[in-house]
Amino acid sequence: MNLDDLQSLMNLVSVKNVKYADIRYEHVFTTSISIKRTRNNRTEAIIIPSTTKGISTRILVENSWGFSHTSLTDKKDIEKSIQESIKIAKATSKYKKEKIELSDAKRVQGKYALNVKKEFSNIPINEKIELLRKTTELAFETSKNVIKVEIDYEDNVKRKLLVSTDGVKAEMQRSEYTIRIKTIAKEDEKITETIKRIGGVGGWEKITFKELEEKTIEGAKEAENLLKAKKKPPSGKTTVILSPQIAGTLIHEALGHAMEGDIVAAGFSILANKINSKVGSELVTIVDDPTIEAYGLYWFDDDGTPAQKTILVEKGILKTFMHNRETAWKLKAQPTSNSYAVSYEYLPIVRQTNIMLMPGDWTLEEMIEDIKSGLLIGSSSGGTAATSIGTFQFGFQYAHLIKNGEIKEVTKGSSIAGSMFDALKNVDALGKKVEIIPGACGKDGQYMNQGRIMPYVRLKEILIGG
Amino acid sequence: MEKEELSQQCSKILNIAEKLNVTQFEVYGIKKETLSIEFEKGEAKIGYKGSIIGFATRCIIDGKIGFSTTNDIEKLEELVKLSISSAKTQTETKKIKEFPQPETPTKVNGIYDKRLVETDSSGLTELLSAIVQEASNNKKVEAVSGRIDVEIEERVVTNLNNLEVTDKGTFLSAMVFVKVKEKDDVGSGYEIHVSRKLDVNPDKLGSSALKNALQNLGKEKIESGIYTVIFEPSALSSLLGFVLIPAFYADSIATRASFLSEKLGKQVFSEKINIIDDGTLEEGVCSYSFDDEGIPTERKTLVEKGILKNLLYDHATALLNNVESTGNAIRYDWWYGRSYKYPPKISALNFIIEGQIEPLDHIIQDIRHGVLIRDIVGGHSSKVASGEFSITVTNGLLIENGEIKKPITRAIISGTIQETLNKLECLAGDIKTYPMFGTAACLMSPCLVFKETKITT
Repeated sequence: MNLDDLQSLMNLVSVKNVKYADIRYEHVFTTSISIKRTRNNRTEAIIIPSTTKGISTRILVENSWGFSHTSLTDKKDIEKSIQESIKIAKATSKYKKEKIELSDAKRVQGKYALNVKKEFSNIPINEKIELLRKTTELAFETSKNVIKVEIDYEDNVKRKLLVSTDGVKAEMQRSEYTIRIKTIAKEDEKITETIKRIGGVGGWEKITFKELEEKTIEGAKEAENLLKAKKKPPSGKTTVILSPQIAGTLIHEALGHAMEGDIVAAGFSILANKINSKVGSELVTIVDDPTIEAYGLYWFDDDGTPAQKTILVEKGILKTFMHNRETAWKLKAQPTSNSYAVSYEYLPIVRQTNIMLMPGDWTLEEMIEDIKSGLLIGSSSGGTAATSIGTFQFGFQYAHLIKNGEIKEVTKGSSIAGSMFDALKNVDALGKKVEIIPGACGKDGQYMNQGRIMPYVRLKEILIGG
Repeated sequence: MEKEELSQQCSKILNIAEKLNVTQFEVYGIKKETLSIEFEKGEAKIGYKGSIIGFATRCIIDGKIGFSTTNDIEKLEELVKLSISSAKTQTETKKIKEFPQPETPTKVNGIYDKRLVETDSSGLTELLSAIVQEASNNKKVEAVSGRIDVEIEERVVTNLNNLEVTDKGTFLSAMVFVKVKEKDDVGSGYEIHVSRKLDVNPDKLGSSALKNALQNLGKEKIESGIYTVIFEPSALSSLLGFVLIPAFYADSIATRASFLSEKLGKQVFSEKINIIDDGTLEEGVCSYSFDDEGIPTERKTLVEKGILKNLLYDHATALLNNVESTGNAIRYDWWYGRSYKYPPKISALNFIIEGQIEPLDHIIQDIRHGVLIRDIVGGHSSKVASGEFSITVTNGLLIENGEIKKPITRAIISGTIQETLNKLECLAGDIKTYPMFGTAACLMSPCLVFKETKITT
């Protein structure tokens, strides 16, 4: 399939009253490896190579959308699939009164590809397994309490083609990898578990033993420390320092989702009327940027809008939401490049790409120094945010107590909770350095890897332990 | 004709493998037609039509298992070769030498409804519109959204031991979500219906979601303390797939990753509870005539009067334990659900909780201080090895002196599932079916009532 083949299918959608249509083709080659290893050296590996390809059609007839997809690539099957999308748009039009228009946006044309030195498909599986197996050994060497290590590895090379009725004709190719290291430790009857994630875009050259080593040792040490953790941190309001990882969860869940145009338009965001108002401390500047080489990288979104950096919050003031062309029209805003579907089987929705909290000028030591009593919170264990009322609750796997400016003993996990506005107003220090955290989000059932670029964040008056 | 097409493709793949001198080779083929309609804010939002064909292969070469998948019917030879190379790079030799031998599939009735096959996008849109309309039938309603999905599925499992089985099934799922508002207060509620046939009652579904939403208005924080709690099946469906069901998997038991390890034949829960897994149930949402390795499904009692009686096996774990597979191998992912893209692993099918059932209103009448729990989040952070869970109640109702009083704001319940199921007071109310998270099973259960449960707010 090439762009001209796809373009030639466009005449099938030129039916009466079509406002817009696009056809998307994707081809993905994925290799997943999962390795489980116990201390007595039983290694188990599951290796899955897979190919997925397919075509989807999205069509706007008057004010109704139709969408269809097929993995069959016979011309007849594709034509039938395209006809189905038109049928659906017509069937639903009876129950549709609200007007739909698409905001004007730049139209992308051209071919884009990530500069990859060693493409994953050219690396023998043996080499990948060997690296992962070497990594598992480190966990057992680091702590005698580690009883089991599980590594889930996945790489993929994805080619995507997009054409539309309004001039989009573009193609991109990118590669992505994810490594998840789960370490399980045991002492007496107590079992603890940590999960570390590595990931980004690029080829095999990006995966280094050094990074794997660092994360594996970190995970094993944490699992061991957790065995020693006797107490939960004290419940109640306190000052906390969030690690970049949990800061990423907070910004993504509590604030990010509430800034997604489709959630705003559907009436589920507390930020709906807050454009140009203060939503956080002056230290808080947040951008979404698909042009950064992290998980969220792309050159154009699935509406065919060229990728752009969007300033969402500037010095505490909410500037814009993230949009596709439809939500931009509804909310009378400029479209941003945030329309994305996780595969050809899905409809594009508004997504965060690489969300970044701009750094401040504090070192971690300085942030700790003037805390009398507080917590340094490690990795998050997931959580939820209610975008319509602006509250959040996240679990964390462990924390360190801070007393009189010094880091003390490790505590068990607990949770942080509160109102998003309170949390953002109470940001009083940001770290100098940012880390790129490989995040993931499952909005509307579409599991997408996203970049979160975060410094350490200090918050006053945060509720611990619900 | 279409059936032949899928079977033919699978045989073709098998032939390629045979020519490459592989003796143990398995092909799984699936063809799916999906149709979905979505409503938002009371109006049609979009419809989706999907046609999917997909193949997965497994091979065993010197005790090493290979796997590969594709949906590209032009590259079947590559599929076989990738499967073989996947086996050759395997690091561990398994006891498994062969794929299953042919057996007659179980006769399962009521899993294919022609009316669902004939339903088109107009019919489905009308149906969802009726549900949405019923759910909008109150002045306090601010927004109603809904979704209806129809799936027609054809499955083939075949291997070089002459096993070749094929079946067809239909699925319907309808869901409606209601947001209500009174002054500044917002409440929400939903209802969901899953079935194998076109049997959704729009009035019942719509009005139940509306009732749930209206009952969610006027939330107040409750005091932390000890309550009698009633888990509705909807709440159980978000928890048990993560903390209870995997505990019955033979592989979790063997690796001591289950709190039920070494408990076979022992009292593990309250004697008031029976648990059955049934892949053969008539019209069961998770009933199949054979599992994803081609082995006939069964009905088995897992827990009888609180005693652990049986475990769930697939072909490989059954071989290791010198027992017969229970036909519980399903290809799924905890997030995306069933798909040919994942290797088969153990899952429950229709996971049924039984016991003496009391009328729900009688039970509520006798509660002085309790909470009725409708929805929870946080089930996925449970630990099967220890049975520990910590969940947040997102929709619950306070019960005081025998009456439902008001909805509550977020509250947290932590504990272990074994302690919780030991405290079971009784089962109550209607048996409902819900799809589950964390497993490919669905839950069929009434409400479960537990004494003295600690709630933190």
